[in-house]
Amino acid sequence: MSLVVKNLSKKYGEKTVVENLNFEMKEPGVFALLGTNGAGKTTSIRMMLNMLSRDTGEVLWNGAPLDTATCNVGYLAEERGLYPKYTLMDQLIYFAGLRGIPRAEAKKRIRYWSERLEVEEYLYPQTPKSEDGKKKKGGKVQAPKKADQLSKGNQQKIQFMTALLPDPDLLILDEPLSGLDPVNTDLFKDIIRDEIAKGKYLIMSSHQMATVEEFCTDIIILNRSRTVLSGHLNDIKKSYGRINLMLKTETDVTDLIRREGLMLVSAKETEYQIKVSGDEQANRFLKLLIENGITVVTFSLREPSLHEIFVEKAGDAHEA
Amino acid sequence: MKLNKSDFTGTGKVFGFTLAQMLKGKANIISLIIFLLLAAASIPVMTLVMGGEAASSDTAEASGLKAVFVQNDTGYELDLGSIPQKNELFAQTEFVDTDVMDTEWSEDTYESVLGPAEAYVHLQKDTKKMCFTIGAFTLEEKEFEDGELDSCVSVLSGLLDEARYAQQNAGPEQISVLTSPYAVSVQSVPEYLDEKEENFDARFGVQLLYSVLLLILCTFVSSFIIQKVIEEKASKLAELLMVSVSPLAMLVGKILAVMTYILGLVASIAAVTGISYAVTGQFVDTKVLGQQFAAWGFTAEALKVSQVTALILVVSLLLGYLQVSLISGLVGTGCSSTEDVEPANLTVVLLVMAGYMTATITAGFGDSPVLTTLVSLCPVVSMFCAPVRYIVGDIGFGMLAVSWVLQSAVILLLAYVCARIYRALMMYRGSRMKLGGWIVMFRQNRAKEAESR
Repeated sequence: MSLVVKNLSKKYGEKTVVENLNFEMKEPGVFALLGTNGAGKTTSIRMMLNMLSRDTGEVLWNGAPLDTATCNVGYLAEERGLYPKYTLMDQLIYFAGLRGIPRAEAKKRIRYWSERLEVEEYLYPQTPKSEDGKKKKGGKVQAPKKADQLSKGNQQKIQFMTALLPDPDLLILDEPLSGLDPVNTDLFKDIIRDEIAKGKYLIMSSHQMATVEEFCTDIIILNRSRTVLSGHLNDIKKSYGRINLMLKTETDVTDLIRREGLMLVSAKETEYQIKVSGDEQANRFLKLLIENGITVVTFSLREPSLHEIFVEKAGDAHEA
Repeated sequence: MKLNKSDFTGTGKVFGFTLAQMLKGKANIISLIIFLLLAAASIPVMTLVMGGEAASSDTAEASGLKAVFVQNDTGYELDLGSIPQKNELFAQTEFVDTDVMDTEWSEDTYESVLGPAEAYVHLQKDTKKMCFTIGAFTLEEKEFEDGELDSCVSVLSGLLDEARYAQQNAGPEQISVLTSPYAVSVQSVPEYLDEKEENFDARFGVQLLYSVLLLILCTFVSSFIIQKVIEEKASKLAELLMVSVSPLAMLVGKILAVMTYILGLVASIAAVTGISYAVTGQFVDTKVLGQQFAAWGFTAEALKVSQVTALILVVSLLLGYLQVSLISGLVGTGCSSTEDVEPANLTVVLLVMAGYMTATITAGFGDSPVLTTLVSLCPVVSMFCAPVRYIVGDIGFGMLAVSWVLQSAVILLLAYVCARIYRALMMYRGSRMKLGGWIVMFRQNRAKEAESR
């Protein structure tokens, strides 16, 4: 299976919102669609899923135009929504039915995912239990909940469930972790890991760079409708080289850093984060420290984080 | 833009879900109960208000006349056994021919043998006056109404007439014609001279009745459809659903669900009204309702009640429904939040009201051919006017068919517009889209399609 996005463009009047978006997923994994606010990420996803018309371009799944007939797609939209006044079970069975899942099978899947996402109490009638876990006699059975009775996080779990119900081959997650507490974030991450392990194709749009780094193999960064960076994440990082120097010494070396013309990013007592041009400059600086009799506690050279790359690329474009 | 079969995949699911949720909605359940209660109460209340009397005076069970002893000296044989079929009042009354009794009957002796719930009727031929006389006798302390005895005499005189015609070799059909009742119409001279006056009342009455029914239906429909269509946008579900189902299938599913709900509601109301009519008839004389409607001009004759008329009304209502629902669908989808529902609904209601007002006002202008043609063909107005003009005889079936074709064209045009811009409208966010916005969106989509070709 493969996903190919070719020359996707969209204009609203004279304003270009997506310009020649190109990427390819040849293997299962997670592809990150990154960008500043308003860069065109959601519009790109909507075009990929045929919700918005494209001015140019095509999206192919196994060589055929992508739609629900050619590809089993799961989608967690950026705009989270559920019918507020209908029961959650009715809604989930309906969403599953629209994807061609028979009622009985849908119920099975709902049971499975509700356990995994820990939302059974909102979907099924609850019998009150006493402290020892036994059924309370005469206790009133609580009716299943409606969407407007749920917290935002729990609504998000139900929405995630709707994306997972069809057991999709291609799962598109638009800001999947935004607004979740750490416990639920881990719950979502576990499921994402499982989906990756099952060999699914995931496209993830997120502003949480740490999460993207954790899961994604390939990325694309959009800024103001244009692609400013794309490729394999490790290759991109390597191309930048090891330019982050984390230094800890026993004495203050601020003067030495300035004298050497290095860029001091941050300093906390005698712990420094320094920007270097590469290995050579770092080694020269280490030699200087030793020559000056400075005791080096930590000297660590790292590639830039995705966050730094993003800020550099998106920030540069902003300034331009 | 070509429509594919896949554009309608999921329509059934949308239909089922929308209808199920409508039936589960508390507000809808309460409305349904209120409507059914009103329908159930309407018949007895209307009957009583219109002066319906207790059915006891007209039913056999309540009749105090238990037996009638008939002395027939006319020379004609009377079929006394047929009386219960001729008048239900006497279903439980026994009519006895005195010839088969041992007792002697006469005007002088009847009091000694007659009971308080019995009557003695003597039919004879007066050869001097060349006529028949019918004398009815009871005890002074009788246990039935005077009117019942009058009815009894009337039935017996009818039997005598039939016997006389039969003896002259008249067949059952001829007898039926000869004894059929006749209607009496009392008119003033100006009314008699201005015969059209009566037609005017009938035309206006039928037009008003149909227009009000359609107006209520359309108002209901527009409100329901706008609410249902905006539901996904207001709940931010449009994106999620559009992955699984085409916007057009969503619209069609919702329109069909609302139609089923409304038709179900109308059918339930009609059924409850019918049951109420039957039950009320057991206690009160409901004929007064028919008489009152006839007085307003709503006779079976004026309404041309027949299967063809029913079919014409169904087709016309269906076309009207589809036009209003597609317009409502488009107007509703142009909204982004529930706050926009009211103005959007008002837009559709005003449009429908314009059609309604035109229909009722022009009904008062008579049957001018130009006006009739205009209102029968003009979109929106025609859904109110064309079937009525056909029923009252102003236009023929040909003109009605042309009107239907034009209405179908409007529906297709609306469906075409929906197909082009409905997807974009679903994704549209902003202030309520008006006609200008639709046109711009329609043009843009068409231009893009042309470019892509």
